[in-house]
Amino acid sequence: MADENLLVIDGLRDVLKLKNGEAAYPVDGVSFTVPRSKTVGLVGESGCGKSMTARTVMRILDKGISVAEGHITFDGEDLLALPEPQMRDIRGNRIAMIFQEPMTALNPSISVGKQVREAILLHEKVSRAEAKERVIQMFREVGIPEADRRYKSYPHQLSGGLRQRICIAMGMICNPDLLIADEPTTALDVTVEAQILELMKRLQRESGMSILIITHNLGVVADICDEVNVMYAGQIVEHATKAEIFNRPLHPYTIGLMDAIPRVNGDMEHDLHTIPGTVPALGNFPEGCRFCTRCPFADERCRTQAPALEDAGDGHLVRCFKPQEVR
Amino acid sequence: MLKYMIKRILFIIPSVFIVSVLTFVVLSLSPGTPGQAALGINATQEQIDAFNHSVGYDRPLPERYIDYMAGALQGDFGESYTQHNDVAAILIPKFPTTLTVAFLAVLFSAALGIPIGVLAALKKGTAVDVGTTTIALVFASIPSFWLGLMLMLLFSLQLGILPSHGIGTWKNLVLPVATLALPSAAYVARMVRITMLDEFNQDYVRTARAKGASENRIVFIHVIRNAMMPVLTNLGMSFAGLLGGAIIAEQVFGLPGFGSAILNAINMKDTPIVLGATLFLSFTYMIIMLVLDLVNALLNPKFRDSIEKA
Repeated sequence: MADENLLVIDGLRDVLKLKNGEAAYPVDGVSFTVPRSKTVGLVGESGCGKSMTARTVMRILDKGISVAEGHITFDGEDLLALPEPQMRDIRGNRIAMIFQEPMTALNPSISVGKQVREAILLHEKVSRAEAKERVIQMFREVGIPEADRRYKSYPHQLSGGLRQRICIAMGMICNPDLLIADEPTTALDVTVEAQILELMKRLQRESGMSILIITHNLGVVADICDEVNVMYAGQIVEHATKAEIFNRPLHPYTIGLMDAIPRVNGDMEHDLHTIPGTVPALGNFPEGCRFCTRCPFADERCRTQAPALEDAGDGHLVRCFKPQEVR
Repeated sequence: MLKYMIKRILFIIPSVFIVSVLTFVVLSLSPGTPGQAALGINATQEQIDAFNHSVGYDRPLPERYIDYMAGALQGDFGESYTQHNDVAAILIPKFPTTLTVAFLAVLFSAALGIPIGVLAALKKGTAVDVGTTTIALVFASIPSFWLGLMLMLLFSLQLGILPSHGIGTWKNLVLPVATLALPSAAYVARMVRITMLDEFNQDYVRTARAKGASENRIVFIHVIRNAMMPVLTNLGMSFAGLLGGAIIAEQVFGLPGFGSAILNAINMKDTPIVLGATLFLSFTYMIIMLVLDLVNALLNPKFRDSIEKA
């Protein structure tokens, strides 16, 4: 049963029923895997479907959105077929998730210690006192100073960085096999971001868990990921190892993202590069390649036929008709 | 916290002072004198003047005010112009009736409004939601004097199961309490529904879900606690409002409470009674607000911190 991949997402398609009766597909045929004890990045702009993919794994989609097709296999188990009570046993226990906004992700009227303790009490039969001890120990582990005292603190009394540490403690408290981190550092200062990423790496080394990290920041990818999936308009457009994607980016969108990173030693004469236009609105994707409206290399074929995700060698997948022409 | 409470209690002093000045001035500005009101249209000017002199109404306003307040501060709220009795002796026996009606009305509006609001929020968009919201809208829009008369018509005259007037048994309280509680419950239900729906969209709900909490647990442990804060404040305020608002219910159902006492006293220009009742009600109101703040501080850690810092 020791499958190499902890999580396998296969042909996942989420459907959103629109007011006018039509359907849109914010996640449209996504497949990727998360190997055991590895960190996989899911990268893309806002609205590309990366967060929704993660929430589908947790089965905490908003009302009106449901899975139309595809499979999600976690440790050999078909997650989408599980009854809700069994799924609840997995949530927060074997798969934990931390969110982008540590400011609002915690309940304002319950002490942070109790909120983390709740995760233990929901999944394990231990006494409250024992659970509290474990929470304080986990607070120390994630680098919260004065962990004893902080147990009784309320969210508004803590800084953003501390709150995110609380959220990570909540995610880690039941020793999950998979931690899904949805833009965990986006709302934080750069120095705090580095600390949080360092913390996640250390916890992974110690526990052997897998991490699925969602980000729009390739700097975060460079810091923490083993593999990367780039998403655009509900589809994976490129997949490779971290080294591959930085050395040999093939999709024009990936290259655009990389050029959009400010560099200290870069060409100061030129403005920061941006990708022209915005992600097309849901249900309004162009025919052919979904990136064709923003792609500097798009031609007639790109505008009429949809490219498939194909292997460009060594498992480096790209969804583009002319990846070689780029650069 | 203690410092805050002391500050709040000290604030009651200027507030009561302002209320007393306003009531005194407004009563004096309204046309007519106590003598005219008490002796009727057949009295001669001499008789009226003599009456006004005997109760001290012929003195200038500031003098009357200072005299009154000097007494009030020593616990003497003066004597009624018309009933030849101490204001306190007249009003105090009436207060339990008003308090009981107002308290029961708040209790029932909470007991009825909160579950209905929660249910409507949980079943958002279904027939249950639309049905309860519509009924709540109707009850929130009905004026209470009309509702009181309709209830009396149905339960006292048509069905004959509840008394229409008077006081004595619990049955006498049913209709007045219902008259006040039904519109209030409708208002509470609508408010609970909205705050619940608002809380459901908060990020912490998603966090609780991701933790593996069941939907019931999310509603009753996480959401209700936050949704109840504005609702509690509102209930407290409506309790205070109902103390004054009881005038209508007491009038319709002939209850000998504060409300009817104030109304009679205004008609008779019986300044000491109106003033005594107004001061007493405003004092009660401020005490309720103080208790509300305490309850709020107990429930809301953010509020607790903000008053601790202040």
